[in-house]
Amino acid sequence: MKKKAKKLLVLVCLGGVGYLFAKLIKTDFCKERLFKILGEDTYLAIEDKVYLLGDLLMWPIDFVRALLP
Amino acid sequence: MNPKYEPLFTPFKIGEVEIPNRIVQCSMGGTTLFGWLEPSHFDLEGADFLLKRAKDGVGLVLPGMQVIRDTMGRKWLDSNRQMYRVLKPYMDEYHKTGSKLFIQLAGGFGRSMAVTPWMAALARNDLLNKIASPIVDVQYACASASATPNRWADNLTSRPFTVEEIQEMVWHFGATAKKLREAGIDGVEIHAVHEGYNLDQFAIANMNFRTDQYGGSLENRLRFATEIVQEIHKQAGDDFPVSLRYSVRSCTKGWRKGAMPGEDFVEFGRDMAESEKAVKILQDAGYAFLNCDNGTYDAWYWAHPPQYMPDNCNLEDVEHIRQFIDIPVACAGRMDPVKAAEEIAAGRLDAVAIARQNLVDEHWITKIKEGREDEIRPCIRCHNGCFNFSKAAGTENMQALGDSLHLARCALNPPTMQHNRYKIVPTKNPKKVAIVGGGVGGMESALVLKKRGHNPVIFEKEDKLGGLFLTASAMTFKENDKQLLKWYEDELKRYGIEVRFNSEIKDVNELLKSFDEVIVATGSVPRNMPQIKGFDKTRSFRELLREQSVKGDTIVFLGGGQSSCEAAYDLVLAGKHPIIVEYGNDLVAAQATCLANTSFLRDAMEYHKVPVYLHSTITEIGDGYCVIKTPDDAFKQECDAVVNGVGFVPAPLGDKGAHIHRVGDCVAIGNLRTVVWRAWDVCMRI
Repeated sequence: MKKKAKKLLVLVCLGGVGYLFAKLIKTDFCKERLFKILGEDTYLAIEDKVYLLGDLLMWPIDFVRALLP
Repeated sequence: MNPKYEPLFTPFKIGEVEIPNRIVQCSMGGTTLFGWLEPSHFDLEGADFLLKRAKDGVGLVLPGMQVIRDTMGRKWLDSNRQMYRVLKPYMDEYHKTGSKLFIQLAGGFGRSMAVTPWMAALARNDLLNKIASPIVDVQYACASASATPNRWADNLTSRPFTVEEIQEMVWHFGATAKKLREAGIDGVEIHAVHEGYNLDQFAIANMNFRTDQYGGSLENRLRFATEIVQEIHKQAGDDFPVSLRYSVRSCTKGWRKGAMPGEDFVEFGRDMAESEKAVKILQDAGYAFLNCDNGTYDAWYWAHPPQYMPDNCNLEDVEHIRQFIDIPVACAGRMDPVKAAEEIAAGRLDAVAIARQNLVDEHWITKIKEGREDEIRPCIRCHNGCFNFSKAAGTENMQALGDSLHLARCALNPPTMQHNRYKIVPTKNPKKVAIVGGGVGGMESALVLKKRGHNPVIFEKEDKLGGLFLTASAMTFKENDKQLLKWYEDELKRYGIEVRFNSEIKDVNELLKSFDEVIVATGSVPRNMPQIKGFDKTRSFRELLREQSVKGDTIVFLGGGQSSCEAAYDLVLAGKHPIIVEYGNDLVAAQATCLANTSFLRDAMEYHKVPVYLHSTITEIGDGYCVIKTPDDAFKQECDAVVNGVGFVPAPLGDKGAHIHRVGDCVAIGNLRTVVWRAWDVCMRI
């Protein structure tokens, strides 16, 4: 039981860190830095894919949300 | 406000609902409140866009079409209770603007469903379709009145709806309307006996071979549409107004064949005589408003007119049909607001329906009200960002997945329907930025940078702004393009952006001595094909269109892309005789150019009897002739000139660097959308 709780805690922490990381990446400051570090072509290609992935991820989320009471 | 616009700003009524003015924002796929292809939900991006339109002063907003049953997930639109709960407070906020909002509900696409290759594969295979059906049932999405050929995919036939399916759908129209009314929506519009969507496929005799109560006589063919309005009144109340999107004439010659403006042809769809009877039946059934234009998916350029179509192209037919009914009528299709105001003042029209202008300039009505109409950014009807369903011979819908998910974005105005991705954020570190090239990419970059607080300077090697777009906009029918160039010039002046004319830059690194950043927007140059004997004798589009130095009557185009077809059409209008030689299997076979635009050009070439040689090339160009090689033959063609239409290659200046950026065709050959969006992508990060 303890092991399971530990695992859950680690997962929650990882999720939290991931969420904060995503929030950080979305700031204009970070976008400007990444644009400089990666170069405009690489940055824009990655950004395009990330947006598409986000759109596709929203499908199952919308589908499940529609089922909620 | 200029008095000529005043008739637009008078109220009118649809049923018992008063609309504050005569401007109707036509429904555009993607500008939805409940999502587009994805499972229905309250769509924040669509809601934000629609509220902005109401604040600008649109009298009646019609959000993008909502299919009554989700294409993805197959849930009925009335089943998501949470969605309607969120809608209520939104509508309270919306009504503070004074604008009214009708939701456009649709039965589906039927044979017009723009199937992509994977959708076509599912639809053609019963087993695969069955397996996928809990998520997407393509056969259902394509179902129609009868077994008819799909507009997009070859060898794909719609299955007919069963009577039970039709009646199930009718009930859900009523149930959805009831929930919408409870959430504060002002009315609904049924989509549609219009544009060849599935209700229209029931209505058109050549697309409906049924022998039950939904086929045969005109009354039977309109039964689906009439039962819908009756069910809505039964469930949502008799006083809940129901509008109908309606095509007066189909302007269709046959499957996948449209009729040109002014063409004498036998109507395959609904002709005017039948339309005169149909509108009375529909009015008697309970429809309170007709939102009209012409066309079908087979003649798509009537419903989504590109720049090649005349202004107000549907007005005459719409005004004619209005004489047969008592309910108000709106007209859509390249409507000029000044002309619309005249017609409304004269009592020949009740409202003007305008669609894509709302994407390109979010303040166009405010600008009219404030007498600043010369500041309105014009829509150029390119459909590159908002509606780029594309198709060529033998292909299905070639639209990119990202575009299918996001219709109604704008090539010229990136923040439209993606306001979180493209936005002006003031800079904390203003920089001096040199922009090399005064084409659209350079001008757009300068505007974005200036709005953010930077100090851009444009270096243009010629004595005027526009770059390659000066050639692209030179054709007689490209009035909107010319207006756009004028708008850019004026906008640069309004923002006080410095332009240095006749300043050719040879070394971008030199610029970095006096500027913090450099943007290279030097465009492209025509592609060379030296392997063709005499290729150096070809003439350029610039010589043909802008400089008009190509003389003679018979002009051969090597390549059948959009530029060649547009130029050939321009020559046809001037009474000349172009010939097109294309290596591929179709004209304008490009992804991202809307079928409404490409099918016009293809149909126009056929109508005007322009010789088109597909699967062919030119092997030799000489003085006064060229040799055309077709799959079966090679022959000498006498001509006055051969125009190089084989495309362009990027022409960037200098190397890339940490402070040197590239924008426009010098990165990769694209269209105005790729140029403008790239300008934003780069200039938002400087």
